[in-house]
Amino acid sequence: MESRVDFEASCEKILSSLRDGEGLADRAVFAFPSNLDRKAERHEFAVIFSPKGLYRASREREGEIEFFSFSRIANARMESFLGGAACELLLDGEWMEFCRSFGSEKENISQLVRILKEVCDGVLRPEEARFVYRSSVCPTCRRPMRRGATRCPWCTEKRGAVKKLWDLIRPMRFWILLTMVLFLLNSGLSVVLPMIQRTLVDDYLTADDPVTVLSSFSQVIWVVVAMAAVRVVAVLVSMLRNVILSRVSIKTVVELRRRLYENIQRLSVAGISRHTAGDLMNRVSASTNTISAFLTQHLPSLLEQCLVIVFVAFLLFYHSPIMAVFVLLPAPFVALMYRLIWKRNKKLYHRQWVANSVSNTVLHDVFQGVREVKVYGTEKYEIEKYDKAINEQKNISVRNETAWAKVVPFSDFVIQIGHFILLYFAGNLILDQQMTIGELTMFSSLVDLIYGPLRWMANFPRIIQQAGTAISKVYEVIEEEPDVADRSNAASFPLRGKIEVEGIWFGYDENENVLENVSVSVSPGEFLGIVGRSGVGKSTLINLIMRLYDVDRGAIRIDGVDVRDISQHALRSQIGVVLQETFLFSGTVYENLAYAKPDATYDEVMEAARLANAHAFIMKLPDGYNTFVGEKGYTLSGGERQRIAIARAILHDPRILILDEATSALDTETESLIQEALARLCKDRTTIAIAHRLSTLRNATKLLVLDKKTVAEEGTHEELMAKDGGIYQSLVIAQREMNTIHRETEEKDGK
Amino acid sequence: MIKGMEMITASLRLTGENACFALNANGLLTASIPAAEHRGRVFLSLAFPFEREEEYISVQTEEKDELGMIRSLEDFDAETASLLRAELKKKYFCPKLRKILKLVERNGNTYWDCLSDQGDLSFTVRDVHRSLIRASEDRIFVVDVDGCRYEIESIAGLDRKSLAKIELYL
Repeated sequence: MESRVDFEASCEKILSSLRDGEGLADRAVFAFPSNLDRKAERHEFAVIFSPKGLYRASREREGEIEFFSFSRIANARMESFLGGAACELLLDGEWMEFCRSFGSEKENISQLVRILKEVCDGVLRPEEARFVYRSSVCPTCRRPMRRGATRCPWCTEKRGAVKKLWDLIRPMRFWILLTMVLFLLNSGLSVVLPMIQRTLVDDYLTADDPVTVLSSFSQVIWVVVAMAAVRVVAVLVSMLRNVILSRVSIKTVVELRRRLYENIQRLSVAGISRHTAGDLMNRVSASTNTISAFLTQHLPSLLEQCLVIVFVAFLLFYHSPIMAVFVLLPAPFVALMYRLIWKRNKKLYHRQWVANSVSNTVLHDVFQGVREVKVYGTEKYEIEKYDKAINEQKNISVRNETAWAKVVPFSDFVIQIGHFILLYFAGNLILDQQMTIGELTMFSSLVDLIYGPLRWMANFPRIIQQAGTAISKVYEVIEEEPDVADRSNAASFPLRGKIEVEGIWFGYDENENVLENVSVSVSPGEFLGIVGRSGVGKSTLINLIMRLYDVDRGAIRIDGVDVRDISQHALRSQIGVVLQETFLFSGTVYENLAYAKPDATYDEVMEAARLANAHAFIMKLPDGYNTFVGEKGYTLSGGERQRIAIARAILHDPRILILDEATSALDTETESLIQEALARLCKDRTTIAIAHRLSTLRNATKLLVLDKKTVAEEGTHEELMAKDGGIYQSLVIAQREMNTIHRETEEKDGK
Repeated sequence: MIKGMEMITASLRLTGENACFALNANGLLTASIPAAEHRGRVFLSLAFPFEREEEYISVQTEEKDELGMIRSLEDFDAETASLLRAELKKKYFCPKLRKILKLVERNGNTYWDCLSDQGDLSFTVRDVHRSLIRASEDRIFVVDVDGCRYEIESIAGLDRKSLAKIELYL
């Protein structure tokens, strides 16, 4: 891919070839590439902004250059399309398309349009235009990366899986090491047994001299006692090991879940929204269990089994190298077989994880929207939907497990072929009196000892695949960088409540801006009402003030400090919010109220409830403040939940208060109770309120009307009402008419 | 159709009989729709971009107010249909991926090098499982970090090597 320096040099070359009547070459103020022609076909152009006008030069066909003098351009605008944008110019009274780009270049089109507008309005001289080339291509590796991302994921050095896992289990390394020592002790004891057996068989049971046998009968008892003692010690060691392992395993799961949950909490609203609830639940619960089992059980077992194999193989080779070769001969063939199946099943395990996550998401959605399911009678549809999800999961699991079910017994058989060969050769050696029966018994026991770990190893690729998928899914979230992150020197200070929004641009996705060039200023203690049609960006504006998202351009300052320089905790702990829909957590009314201030006293909580006109209805509940409201608080009405939210905000005692449709969908009587509560809450605080019901904003000291993504009107109620044909005026008139019709209908019905 | 709403929906339907589309001197789409008292620039928007690419096309003014709905491009003569098709292509610019030359996953992103109807393309996709839109069993859309969309018209039609690369994410 071409570098920026090379591109600029090629633009200069284009301009130097163009000379005006006096033989003077034009110069570029800035330039950027565009990648589509007017028919949306791929074609590389250079868009060049010069003091005289705009050039669009083809970089594929030399000499194909268009020029538009600023004297002809009356205006400019941007037209967005899927994944891109086009710049249109108003030339001689007619709009025409100037350039078109998709991908990261659309950012530059947006800048060009802004600069052109300022030039057309006469507020900017072309030669003074300041343009910052924006590219979402990493300057190091030249690979595209997310807009606004500060680090290129490709170039970011991430710790390897082993290091990540070691980091996790390091605090428990002593205990894990101890379990391994205990296992080795156990394995050592298992090796001692065949040796005692050999002594028993060769020295006592099959001895040539019967006198010796009789005289040593008392010694035989001691040999048997020694064997029993070894067994008892082995059982005790095994018990101790299991107890330690289970504790280590639980600790690891808890630690892993803590890290995962902590990072989920650090992510921005947009970051969390990228995952479904089912997906996150799957990562937090199932995947962490898989990793923990891998780390605390399978991985130590792997090391242990390897040591056993090495140790027993050494003994086998020590006693009879030829027979040891026969015993171990099938092992490489089995390893090769697993290598082949591993590659194929890796993809299947990944798909199994995704299928599992999808079925969890379906379940989560249905439980969340259970009322809608019942109301619309769509139980059958939901059953079919879940059936489809779990069938997909089943099909992948069956394919996966069937492959293993076929391979494992077969590989087991292949491994044991060595045993048959051993019996054949050992039989011959005994007949030739080159080997004793005791030696065969010992050898046979050692072979059994080595086949156990070899069989276990055969299953290990499957464990690794499951663990590998779980590790990648869990660490994907643990290592996800928050979109909205605190800067290293983020400030924390008590807010006074002055808010300045300066020329902000923002869009939730790359394709469309929700707000364009919005500016407003609110003084401490002032009440700003935001008015506008649905979807015009009112809630987006307050989300940006709370810094749930970062602006794409422009800045929001609180008390003169950019919100991006204020610690998120410090900022949000001083902002109170009352939303249209109040979410109540599972718990009591008291717990829900104290959520805003966990150390609040009973008196403080009740005082807040009284101010919010909530105390009276709470006291009518069977258990007063201890009434369990359940998930989402279904037992409370909308108005009651709203008053709990206001009480929460009062307890929170914020410097800045945000009300987003706080009184919509309430009956007149409830609304007046809430209005009264809100008036108490807003006193002496900077308040920003969004309301469709304009009566809610009667206390507003300033009104902001948003329309077509930007500020359409600003002023007091009186000033805006004086604007004939204004948006606010027409909204107020329309609402008055609606109220009149409503009143007349009520009166008519009353008669 | 909802009872009593027939008049409203019927009045919105645009055909070759009541609407005339053309490109102006600057190559921008214009329409003359006497029933909506409109003559000038129009914009098109698909109601079901994944399922009906030539049906249910909303015709809008510069202010994005709907003037009417084209039920199907078949309601227009071939020349107008082709004009509207070209305009839709501009609005829903979506290269069609023919071959996946390289697909590498690294740190939660996938890096694609593909051959498309628009030539060679390289793009990055974040969280690939969430960035694949399955329009049907055989047809998918891939959305990259810039919000650009790429279409695989037929998964079954992909060559074996391309399929092996993408199979993991399907």
